[in-house]
Amino acid sequence: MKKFFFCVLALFGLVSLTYADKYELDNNAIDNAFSKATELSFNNMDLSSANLLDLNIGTNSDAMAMMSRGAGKSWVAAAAICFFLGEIGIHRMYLGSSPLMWLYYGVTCCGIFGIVPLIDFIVLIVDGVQNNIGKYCGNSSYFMWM
Amino acid sequence: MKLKILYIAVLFLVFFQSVQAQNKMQAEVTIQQLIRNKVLTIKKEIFYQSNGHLVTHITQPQEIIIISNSLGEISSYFPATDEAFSSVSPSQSSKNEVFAVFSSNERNDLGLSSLGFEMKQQERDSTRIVKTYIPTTENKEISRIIMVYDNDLPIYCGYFNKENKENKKIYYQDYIHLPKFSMPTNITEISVMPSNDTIIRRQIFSSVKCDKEAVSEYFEFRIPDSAKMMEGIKIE
Repeated sequence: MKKFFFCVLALFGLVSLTYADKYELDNNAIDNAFSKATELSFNNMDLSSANLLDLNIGTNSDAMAMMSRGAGKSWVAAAAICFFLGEIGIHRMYLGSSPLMWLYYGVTCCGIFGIVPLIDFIVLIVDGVQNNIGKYCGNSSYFMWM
Repeated sequence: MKLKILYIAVLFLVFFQSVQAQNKMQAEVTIQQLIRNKVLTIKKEIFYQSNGHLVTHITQPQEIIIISNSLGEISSYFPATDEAFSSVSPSQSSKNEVFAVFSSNERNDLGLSSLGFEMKQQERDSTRIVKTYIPTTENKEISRIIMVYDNDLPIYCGYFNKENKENKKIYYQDYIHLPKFSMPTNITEISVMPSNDTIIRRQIFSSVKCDKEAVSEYFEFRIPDSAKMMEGIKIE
């Protein structure tokens, strides 16, 4: 029984150790790799090329580049449509959600008596100012902000 | 009618929020990029204001001053030749600057939710939380992203492609705790290219200053009127 207990404990410890190490970087290995590498000279490089501008390392700039492709929706247009036609969900159709969204808004008494389009309007402006409306594009959830 | 008045009131509220005092941050940054046993080193100083205005002063290998904003509009100036060019690149938005991400409320997911990702799963370890994000719309390159947190600070981000291979890993280390936020001073990114080459990029921050300590003429840098404009680039 003791052996079984120790085996389980050892296995748990091993799993925990593996789990922990997976997300930790071996900085010594990275330092070694950099120190052994040859330093490149920029003499023959075109410093005005766009590649040099790729300096946003470590953030989600790649994800942003990938997600922004094909979005092409204007938050100003979306907010304006929401302002005038929000009660029947036309702004949601502009953002590429379900084509029946106008029906959902209509059936729920203009989006729960105008509350849903009001919140849509607020979040479109708040996120639109920061150019972050990608999450609302193609979103077919009735509450696009949840 | 009342609802419309409420809309307008909200609009004004948002406007006044946006004209609040701007915070300033600056740091020196060393970037090293390793590929095929060759290393490139770039040194820069960054001057960021919380309204999204970012001035990047590259000092090595050649002096270049880049002014960018949250929309990805970039103006670059080459003092040596007195030349400048403008470009647009959403992925180079100042919002992606480490200062911007960690000083804003996007630190929790490093801006993934605002980029169209939603959290699908959350696992809890003794001190760590592992969150899985998936794109809410069709994405040809990313199937999921995992974020790992230690004491509420992101320490790891992994990108998985459509073949479920983890082709990009980002490690956030050596956090410093500033009065208003915490940020990593060592960010290492390991990417596996389709050619199976591995690229290691490391970004190390030093001399990080905020608010009153952040004083530099570069915060207000303007490209001289005398600069010769080169042909612009638009990057999609």
